[in-house]
Amino acid sequence: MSTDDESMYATPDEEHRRLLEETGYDADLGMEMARDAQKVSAGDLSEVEFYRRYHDRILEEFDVDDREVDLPDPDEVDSGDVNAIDRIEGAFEGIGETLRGVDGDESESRRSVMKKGAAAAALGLGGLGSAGATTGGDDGAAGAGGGDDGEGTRWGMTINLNNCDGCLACMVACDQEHNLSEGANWMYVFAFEDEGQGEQENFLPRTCQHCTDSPCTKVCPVGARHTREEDGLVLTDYDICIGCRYCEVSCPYGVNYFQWGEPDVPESEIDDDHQIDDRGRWVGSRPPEGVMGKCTFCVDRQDGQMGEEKVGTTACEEACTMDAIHFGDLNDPESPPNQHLEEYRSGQENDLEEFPNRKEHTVSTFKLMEERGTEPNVQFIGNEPSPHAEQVEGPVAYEDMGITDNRKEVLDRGADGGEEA
Amino acid sequence: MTPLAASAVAALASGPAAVPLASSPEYTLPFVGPGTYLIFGIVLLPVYAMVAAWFIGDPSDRFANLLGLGYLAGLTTVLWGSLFVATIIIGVVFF
Amino acid sequence: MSVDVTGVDRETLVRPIQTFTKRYLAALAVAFGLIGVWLFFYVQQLQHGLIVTNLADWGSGGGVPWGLYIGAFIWWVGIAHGGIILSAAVRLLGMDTYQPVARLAELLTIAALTCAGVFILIHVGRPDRLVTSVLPAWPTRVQWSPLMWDVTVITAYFVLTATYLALTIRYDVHRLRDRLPNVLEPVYRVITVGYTEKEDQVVERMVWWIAFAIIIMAPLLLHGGVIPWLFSLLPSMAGWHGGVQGPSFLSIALTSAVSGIIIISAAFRYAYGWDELIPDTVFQGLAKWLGFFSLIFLWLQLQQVITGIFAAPTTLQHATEVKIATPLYWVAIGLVALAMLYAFATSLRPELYDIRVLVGMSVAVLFGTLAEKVLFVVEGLQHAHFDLYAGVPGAYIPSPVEISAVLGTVGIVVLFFLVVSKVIPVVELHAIEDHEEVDA
Ligand code: SF4
Ligand code: SF4
Repeated sequence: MSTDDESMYATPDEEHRRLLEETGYDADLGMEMARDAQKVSAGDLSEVEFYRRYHDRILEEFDVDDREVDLPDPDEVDSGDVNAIDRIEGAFEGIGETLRGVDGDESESRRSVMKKGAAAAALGLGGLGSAGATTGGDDGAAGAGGGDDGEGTRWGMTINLNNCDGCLACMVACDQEHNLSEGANWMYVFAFEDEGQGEQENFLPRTCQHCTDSPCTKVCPVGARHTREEDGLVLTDYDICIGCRYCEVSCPYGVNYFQWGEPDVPESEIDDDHQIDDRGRWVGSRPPEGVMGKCTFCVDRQDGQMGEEKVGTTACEEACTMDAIHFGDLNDPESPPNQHLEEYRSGQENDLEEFPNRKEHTVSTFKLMEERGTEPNVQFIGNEPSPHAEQVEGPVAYEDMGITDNRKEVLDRGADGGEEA
Repeated sequence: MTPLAASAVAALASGPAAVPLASSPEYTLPFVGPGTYLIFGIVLLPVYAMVAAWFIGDPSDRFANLLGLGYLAGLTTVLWGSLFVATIIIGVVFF
Repeated sequence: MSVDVTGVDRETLVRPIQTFTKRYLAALAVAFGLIGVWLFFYVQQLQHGLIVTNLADWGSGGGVPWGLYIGAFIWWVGIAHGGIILSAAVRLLGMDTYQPVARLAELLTIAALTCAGVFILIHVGRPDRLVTSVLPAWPTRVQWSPLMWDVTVITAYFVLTATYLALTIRYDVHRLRDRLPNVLEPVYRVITVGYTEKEDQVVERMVWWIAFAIIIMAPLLLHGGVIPWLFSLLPSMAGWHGGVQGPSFLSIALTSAVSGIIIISAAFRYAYGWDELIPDTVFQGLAKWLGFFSLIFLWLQLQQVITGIFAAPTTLQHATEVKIATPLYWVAIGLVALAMLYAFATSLRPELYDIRVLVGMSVAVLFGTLAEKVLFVVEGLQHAHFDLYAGVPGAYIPSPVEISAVLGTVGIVVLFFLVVSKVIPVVELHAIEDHEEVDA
């Protein structure tokens, strides 16, 4: 089920095509509205926009738009108009709730639930606004909250290198949560020494940077590597990937791990909940043979499939006892990554009274190779490794944690040696 | 640009263009997209010129022209068709 | 023009079709042997995955994800590309000297494109999805992904070249029909369907236009443009960047293509005693082209090395330093340089010319360009900008599986020529007879 892909709304052009494509009664319109309603509930889409988008079509389809009562003409609504948002919100109460309700059925595969969910939503939309509940917009902390930039969720991390002690617990947690094959270290912790910084060791935990302008998605010939529009996650569709490894070659950070042979953990041992995301696409857990894998920012958690309490957390963050990893919505000023940065900075304020021209704080932050223009969504607090930094052995050896550092050793053992669990 | 498009672009790439730099394909689409326009609209112009010249210029022969067109279309089909068969066989036997 | 092969009779032309020798069988056996070795290994790869190669992940993985497969892919595309440019140049610029080898060049293009396609198939982790994933994504991906663009361009070249061949072959088959074997009658009937002698001039015009389209699209799309683009687009690797990659790739393409044509023409000349049909003048001319293209190739390499070590960004400088410290690189450069020197020497002192030496030089050039291509890919991948990893630069030596694929594709080309030369004349009738003569 690849049909419910939000990227189709990306350009006016495609939007146009979508309108053209709309043929019969209900199904298409329902599907789209359901999908968009989910976006509204996730905070990806403003209610005003949702209303504007469907106003004419609802009129056309049902002769009357129930929602219209007391509402301004959609074309005159400005997304900045707070009152308009309130009024529209009133009309939309419950959509998010209705839609979220369809995800619950554990006994069915995600794929079939997705299909049914869309259908159910299409039906439910007939009686818009009748179910009373809270609006869906609150958990996503929509654009209205005013994050760094842009609306909607943008998952990201702040990793505080000063806190990291190189225990490798995050690597192990990631490895287990995603059933990774030996040597596929989606999370990888460097211990490094830098020139002129003495003998002191530094650490650098490295995930996929989930770049906003990611080269890997640009080069993928089949669009398997894509940015999920609802929250900016960079994911690989395991059903589509042809395994050309172009993404791996184009990624400046070396975070991709191809599945060269049979995965260590067979498909039968992994729940669909871990693998299929809320759009019904197979993007989670370890990749099958011949397909590319990398850190997913625990997409299964973000979609609520590991339980509501795990939304906004990652396995590595959970495993870190040193408070080094902070995961959350970068568009939300209250989220852990933003909060942590804020707190850390305010703890290290500069004396602006005496030195008015100094920066507000003395905290050094960086993103990896920002000059490449990839716009990473992972930011670090601490010392950036210089070009002369060298990886050294850390206090905890990879082997001691049951992790293989250099995957080539595994691969060199060949098909019969390495890849069996 | 609508707020929708603006937010889509902002979420994807803060570049100025309205074209998504990173988007996944829509698999229910017919064979139409920006790439279709680029290849069939621009890159294949020399081929169109060639075919036009076949028909318009002199000497010209209807049968030969159609035969040429047939080869172009037929070979493309055969190429992809046989690749398709090969991949299906590989898929059935090995995956 | 110093070359005149119009005295050669039709018997000579169809000699490959009418003879059947032990040597032919031996060549066939070799071709099948090469393909068989490759298939043996390839089945293993299909069974176990790409783990049977020596490729691995770069980064913490300590390897390189692209290797001989991609190197050989570019190499075949280059040969194909150069082949079609040469053949189109013969048509458009009327370089009649090379008419005896024009069709061989076209056939080489088709065979080499096939091999390039084979390398895409065996490079990817999921060959079974090559159509089902690629076609639906094509409209939205082709303008972004160089690999997709490549697939498109290979299709276009294959189709144009094959159409070209299919149209021109009708003339020859029709006129030589009485000398061609009757068992193949159905094939010939299909090839010459609806043929009338009236169409000759029309087809002449049509193929001129095909050549025109090919020439226009050629440098724009293939080695002058997209393949270097495939690499220099990437922000991750230092060694691949720079505008000089375009011309550099083109020069390699032409150099390898001329070498390929020299080898194949020489093989036919040797096997069928075609000393008159493909006279020394043709080879001497090709040798000059070889020398000329090699010169450009070397010059552009020099360019890259100098810009790479003189005040280049650190990682590029490092990559370049490693490149020039690699013995294989100097072997590759040395082979091409040797070929260039020999080619120029023969044009100054014709008595130095010996076709066997020339063929040897061509083989050396092909080896050199393949080595250069693989090094380009691998060394590019070994030297990432982000080199904090202990596993960067990664290690890579092609595995037997990968090497077998190169042999297998060489086998495919040999087999292709062996089979085709038994069915259609691989040298055009136009080469030995003026048009009027034939029509009369
Ligand atoms: S870090 Fe690499 S794999 Fe991850 S989004 Fe950026 S380019 Fe893609
Ligand atoms: S390996 Fe898969 S995800 Fe990566 S570029 Fe190739 S097809 Fe796309």
